[in-house]
Amino acid sequence: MSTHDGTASVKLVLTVFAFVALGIAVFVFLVTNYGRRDASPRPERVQVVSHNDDKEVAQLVQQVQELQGRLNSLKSQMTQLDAGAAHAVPTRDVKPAEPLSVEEQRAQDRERLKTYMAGVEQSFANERVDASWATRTASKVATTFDGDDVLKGVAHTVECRSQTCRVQIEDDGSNQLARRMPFIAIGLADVLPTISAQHVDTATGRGATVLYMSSQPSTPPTAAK
Amino acid sequence: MKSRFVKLFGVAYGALLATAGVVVPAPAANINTNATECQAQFWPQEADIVHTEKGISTGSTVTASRWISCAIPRSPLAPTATSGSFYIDGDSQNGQWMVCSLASYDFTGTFLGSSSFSSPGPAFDILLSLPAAQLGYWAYTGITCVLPPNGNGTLRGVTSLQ
Repeated sequence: MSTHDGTASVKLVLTVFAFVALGIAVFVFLVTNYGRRDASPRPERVQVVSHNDDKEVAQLVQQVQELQGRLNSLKSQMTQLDAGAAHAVPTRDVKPAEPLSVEEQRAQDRERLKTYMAGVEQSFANERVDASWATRTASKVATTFDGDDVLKGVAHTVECRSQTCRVQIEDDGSNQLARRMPFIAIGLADVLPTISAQHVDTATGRGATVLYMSSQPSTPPTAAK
Repeated sequence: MKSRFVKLFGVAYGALLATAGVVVPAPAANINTNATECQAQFWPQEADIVHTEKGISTGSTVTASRWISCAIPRSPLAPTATSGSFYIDGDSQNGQWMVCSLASYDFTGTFLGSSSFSSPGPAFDILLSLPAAQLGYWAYTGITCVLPPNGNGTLRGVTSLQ
């Protein structure tokens, strides 16, 4: 009984020793591995992250360079378009014109006005006569001129047709007509809202101003935004 | 991680700077002008005119209509344009109405043409046009209006369309 008890005691001691040794081994393993991972990443892992980061940045830099190239291309195209728009020409065969000088621009404006007024003059010449409208409107025009202290003394003629009146005013050199035009236009706004002016030569040598006054508004009066 | 964000921010900022270098030419645009800058046509009637942020009108105690004139800023029309247009906005109250005439003069002061209207209702938003031939490169445009008495009409402003 005593020998059997002694053997059992030895087995118990060895078993306890084995568990303690196993616990120490596990503790050392955990301290060695987990402690190092928490303290600092493995060098290999750091290198992998850094490599991916640089790759993405390199891609972004490349994209920025591509965008810069496209922007430069757009700038170039815009410059060409601006040059083309500034010197728009009716046909492709004609080279873009140089910018007009002040005198050239003024001459162009005069020519354009002359052409436009020739059309207005022709339209008036072709306009039929509505005697009733013509009489009524001519009277209104005469009243407006007579009601102006400056213009009532200036020689003028009035000819009305069906929707347009032609008023010729002799130029006395005082430039009074231009100053009084707002009063004429306001006074006739309800019957002749649109006025176009033309300078013509006369036998007196002073010339005259011809006003074509139309009952037709340039646009519908109720047109809104 | 922080370093990566700094790099990305730098790249994005660089792209933004590169884009800012593009100078887009300003296209021709409308010009809105408040009528409060208009002036009395006749001396010494300026005291009868009320200028506010809403426009211009006669004073409430002014018993007669008053004439005013305004400059209309504009840009030269495009070479292909056949006409130039302008919106005139305002109000009329108590059965009163407003009459206005938009005119164009060349650089020597020669009258070229005009277009006029009588306000059709309590609130008006009128579109007037002049042919391009009367709106030359060097021409000046302006508008003359007759404001009703007792503050019964307000000229709000003019828009030059482009």
